[in-house]
Amino acid sequence: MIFSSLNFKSSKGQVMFLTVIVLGVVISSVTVIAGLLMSYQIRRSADVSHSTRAIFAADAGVECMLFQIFKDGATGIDAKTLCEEEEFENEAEFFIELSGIEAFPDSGVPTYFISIGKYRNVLRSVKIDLSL
Amino acid sequence: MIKQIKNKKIKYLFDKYFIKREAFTVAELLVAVGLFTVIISISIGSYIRMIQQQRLMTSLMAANDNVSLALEQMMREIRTGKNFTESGFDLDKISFVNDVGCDITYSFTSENSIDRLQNGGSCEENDGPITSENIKVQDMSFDVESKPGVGIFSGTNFELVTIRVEISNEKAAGVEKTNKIETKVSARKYFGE
Repeated sequence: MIFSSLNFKSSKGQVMFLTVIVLGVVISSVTVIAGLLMSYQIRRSADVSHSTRAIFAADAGVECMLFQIFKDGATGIDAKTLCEEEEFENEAEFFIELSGIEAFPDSGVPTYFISIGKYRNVLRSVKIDLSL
Repeated sequence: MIKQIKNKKIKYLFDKYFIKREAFTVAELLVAVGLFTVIISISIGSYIRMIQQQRLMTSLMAANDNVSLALEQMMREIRTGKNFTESGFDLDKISFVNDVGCDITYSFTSENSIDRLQNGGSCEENDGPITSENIKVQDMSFDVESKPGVGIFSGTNFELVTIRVEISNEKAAGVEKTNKIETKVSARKYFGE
């Protein structure tokens, strides 16, 4: 009923124009979605590199803490201070979070600690448990 | 009777929409085809960029995975090693003795790779790259910090090795991205070794 009420004969090229507009809208929508997906991929590809830097920075934090603790029995707080002073050439950094210091009251060595590697907005952490 | 009416109606509709329909003018066709071409060109461009980005991402992920594995191998061997010395131009070489008594050397080569050389003692000589061809190692350096131990560890030196590696992916979609990785590894000497 609606179809028959449309006067195609007199509309001439408008049907084609309408078709192209509708097609255009559909294709543009697809393009916008593809563009969004692309921007997510660009972000992800940047995150891959940032994540690698952050993971290795976190790992460096763990190794530095173990080095300071086992070398001369540095307390957790001393080891943390010594390690966090070090700067990375690739601008990554790490922070140490100490926990359970009371488990080793004589030495001040923490039961476990968490090393958080950071590069720009990417954070990666590694936890070491010394109580086992 | 009803069939006849139906046939007449179908014939009327067919004539109305297909036989007696007017054609488009050249101008209308040109505008329509032009618009369509513009829209298609934009969407194809976007699609091609998406494919290129995908290739770049895959290449970057491969490069990062590969260097991570190579670093992990080096770090494992360094943890259980001793007698570390860094050498070479720009300190791009580290030599040590691993836990089975082999002389190990990791170095940055001119072929943009990380090389592992094993020899000495009863060890079979073995030399080869530990990174694959789809990554380029642009630079590598080592820094060995050695401190004497105290207490039960007095007389033993403790080493903390800093490793810096700069890598880039295999060129994908004309793009080569560089990543600098830095990490530390301490030799484990907790049992008086």
